[in-house]
Amino acid sequence: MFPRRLENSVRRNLNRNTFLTVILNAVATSRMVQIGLAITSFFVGIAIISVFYVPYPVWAPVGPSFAPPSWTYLFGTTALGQDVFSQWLYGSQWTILVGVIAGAMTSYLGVFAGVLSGYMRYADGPFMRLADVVLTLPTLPLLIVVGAFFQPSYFDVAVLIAILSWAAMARTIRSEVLSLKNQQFVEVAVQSNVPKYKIMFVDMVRHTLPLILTYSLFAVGDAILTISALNFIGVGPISVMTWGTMLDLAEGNLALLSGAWWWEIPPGLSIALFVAGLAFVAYGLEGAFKKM
Amino acid sequence: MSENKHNLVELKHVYRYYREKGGGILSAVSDLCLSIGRGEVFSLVGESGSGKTTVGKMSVGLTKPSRGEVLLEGVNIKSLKQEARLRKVQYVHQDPYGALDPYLTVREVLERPLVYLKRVKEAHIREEIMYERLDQIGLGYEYLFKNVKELSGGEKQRILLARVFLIEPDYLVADEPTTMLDSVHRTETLNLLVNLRKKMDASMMVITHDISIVSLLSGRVGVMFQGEMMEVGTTEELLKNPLHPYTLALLAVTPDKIAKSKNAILEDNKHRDLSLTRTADYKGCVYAGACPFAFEKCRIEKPKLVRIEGTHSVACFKYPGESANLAE
Amino acid sequence: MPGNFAEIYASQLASLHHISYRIAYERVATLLGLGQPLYVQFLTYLHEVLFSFPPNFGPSFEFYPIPAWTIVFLALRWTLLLLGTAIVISLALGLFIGIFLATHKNKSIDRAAQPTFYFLNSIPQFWLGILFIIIFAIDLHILPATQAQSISANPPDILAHMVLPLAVIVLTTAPGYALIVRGAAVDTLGSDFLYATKAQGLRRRRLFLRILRNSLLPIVTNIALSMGYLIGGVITVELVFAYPGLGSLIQSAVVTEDYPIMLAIFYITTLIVLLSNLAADLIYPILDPRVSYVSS
Repeated sequence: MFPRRLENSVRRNLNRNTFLTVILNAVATSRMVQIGLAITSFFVGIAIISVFYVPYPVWAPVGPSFAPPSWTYLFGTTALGQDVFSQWLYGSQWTILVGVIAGAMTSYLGVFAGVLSGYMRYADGPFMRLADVVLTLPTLPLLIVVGAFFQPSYFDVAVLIAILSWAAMARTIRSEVLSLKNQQFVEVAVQSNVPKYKIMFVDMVRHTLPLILTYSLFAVGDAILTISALNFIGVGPISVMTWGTMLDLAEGNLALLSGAWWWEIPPGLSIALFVAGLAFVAYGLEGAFKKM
Repeated sequence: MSENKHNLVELKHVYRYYREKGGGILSAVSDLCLSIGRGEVFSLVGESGSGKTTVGKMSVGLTKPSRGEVLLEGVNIKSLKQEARLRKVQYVHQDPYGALDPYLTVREVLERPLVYLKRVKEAHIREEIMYERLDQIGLGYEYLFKNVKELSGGEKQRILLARVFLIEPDYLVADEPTTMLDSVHRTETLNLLVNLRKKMDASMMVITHDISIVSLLSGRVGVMFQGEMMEVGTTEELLKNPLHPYTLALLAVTPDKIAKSKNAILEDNKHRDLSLTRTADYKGCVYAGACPFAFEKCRIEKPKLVRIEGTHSVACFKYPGESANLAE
Repeated sequence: MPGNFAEIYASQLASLHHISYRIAYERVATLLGLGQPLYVQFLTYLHEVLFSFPPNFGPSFEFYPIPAWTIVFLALRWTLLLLGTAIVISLALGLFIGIFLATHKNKSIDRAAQPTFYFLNSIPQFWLGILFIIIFAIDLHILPATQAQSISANPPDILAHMVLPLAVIVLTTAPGYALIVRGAAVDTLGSDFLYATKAQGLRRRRLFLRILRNSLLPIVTNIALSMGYLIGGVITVELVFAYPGLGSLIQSAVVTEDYPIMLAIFYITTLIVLLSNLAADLIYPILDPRVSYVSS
């Protein structure tokens, strides 16, 4: 008596992933997660729109210098007469993309180093000493020095941020894996001759997924803040328009002294809101996972 | 003994030490010899902390002995490749709640050994094997699609057994197979274990602290105390005619009338003092601190296992006899 | 690497002393030891940085021949003043607000505080500085916007200059500390040992001190671990307010391609992070009740 294939797959999908149900449950019940998701999806939505539609060219002067917000120029214009709204719209794409790339690389490194040093005893010493060193490096001064020497691109900066910020995540995951490793189910997996890499990067990762998820969200937010600070200092990449680039240009063109607050407010506030939105989701999910 | 000149599993003078947190060294098992023949059932009895689990894990190569060697079919278990070893020996954990990854489905639990150990390439053959085994342990095929989280303790224990019998090892260690279960499922699971073992014709070591379930098993029994073997014999010999004072004490706490009347002396067992026997340079019998029969010699010299009759051996100065080597 | 110092210096010398560029460059090269193999130069550099006191990073390019270290040290005093004051204030605020929230757990003030704090924690610090300058210095004219002191330097004047940068740092870091303290205090309030102390009839003050002590532990670890991040924040805030600390110095060094200064700043900030981690390790056993119980 064998069940039909169709029934098979339906059942499998129904019962799969208790982890996903926790997330969905958190989305449905936690006010914190809802607000955070609303904010982040608003900005992601804007970023998607900006791929298809931006009212004015981003770099070209399209109006008078320092025009205050009006119906023609929603967020006013810059010193060169560029449209701030268009820049803000377009800037969301790259800000979010670079942040996500940096955050993803950070968590990739963090998970890799954390799981490996937690599970493999010989990897523990080297990786954790390396983490100690990385933790004592002051990120921003180092990025400034490197930025001054090499004029990095956005991708370079994302890689550098990942290299400088994986350590805290790796430490947390390592201690989690260390305690997981002594659980009997790991011994059962070993006795099934499951390959080591599979135990580490499937089983262990699945058990630390809540940690990884919250840490990754924070990593994205931190990366966005760091890159915008670099932009502001003037050593960050300015090859494409991001919110950080906007702030950099506004500062360089003395937007403040000219009273052009509309040039400073949209990018800065957007960075703050987006990063806060990510933090809301992360904290809300953390709370939901704790109750799991 | 069978036509094969080697026993299936042999432990030769194995020791196992653990480093304690304070820097001291804890001896979990010391100078233990044991051999298990093909198709034999061996029960290992002792209180918690007596080193039973360590012996069980050493016999399947999950824990490495600090000294001495473990032989599988005459070959040192260390020299075997992991895959070859795991096909022959398996260990069933005592805690079904901890031994199954809650994120897995039953299907994954059962399919993993088939894929990575038995190397069954065809999906439909794997499925057939899994259905067959689930049927044998009395669970329907729909269990394959359940999450481990949804299972009760008894079901988890059965899945664990099904997993082992998919692998069909020559030798398996069942560590406290019934402890975590309620009394209804206890005998049921034990019977299942015994029946499945018979079908596979595998050797088995059953580790338990509960001497009363030993009567349900046939074969030999070993009684362990503080990492040493106190008494070995067939179930019948040991339960009908217990010799070692510790065995008597173990039987005294079971609701067995015969044993009880015989062991009234041992009622004051509670005030036992093990502080002396735990010191580093103590050379006497490990049970001397709690033994009501202990005399001068017990605290100075360690008694060796001596053969009383048949397979029945005991390590106690109360019984003179020729020394027995269980590894032979 | 942009900006070869030897070439710039040689051309300056040549035009100053009316000698040919080649002769000037040769003099500069001997002065700086450029003739030696690269690894010898590097080893000399390492030796000078690590084994002399104060560490010798060579002369600053921009303010030649003043040693880079001297310039960095002058700026460091302002940064440390800002950083130290900010940490003390954030710590104190974080502790009191955190414990207050924990004792008012799930009341409306606690619920409102949490998202607000996450938001404050997420604001780019330099941007908040810009806002403050617009509001307090340009629009309201109540506080100075730039520099650390006026020409007539006196303590109240220095304090007035510190207010805005401090406010920015405290506003963006204290909420994070408050949330950590809140978490720790909630745990302490719910733990058995606090029940025991309550049962013993300890006074409210003693109770408060217990909670304080238990909350101090995670926050000290957090400050030490996030010291690198804190310094980064101080640097950007200094830039906004043209505060004469490391932040302004590193920016001018970047603009003028003054590598000795940049490296000296990187060196000293790393040292600060290292020392704060060491300090946390030393404070830890004092704060950890389990450790102190064992030793007593």
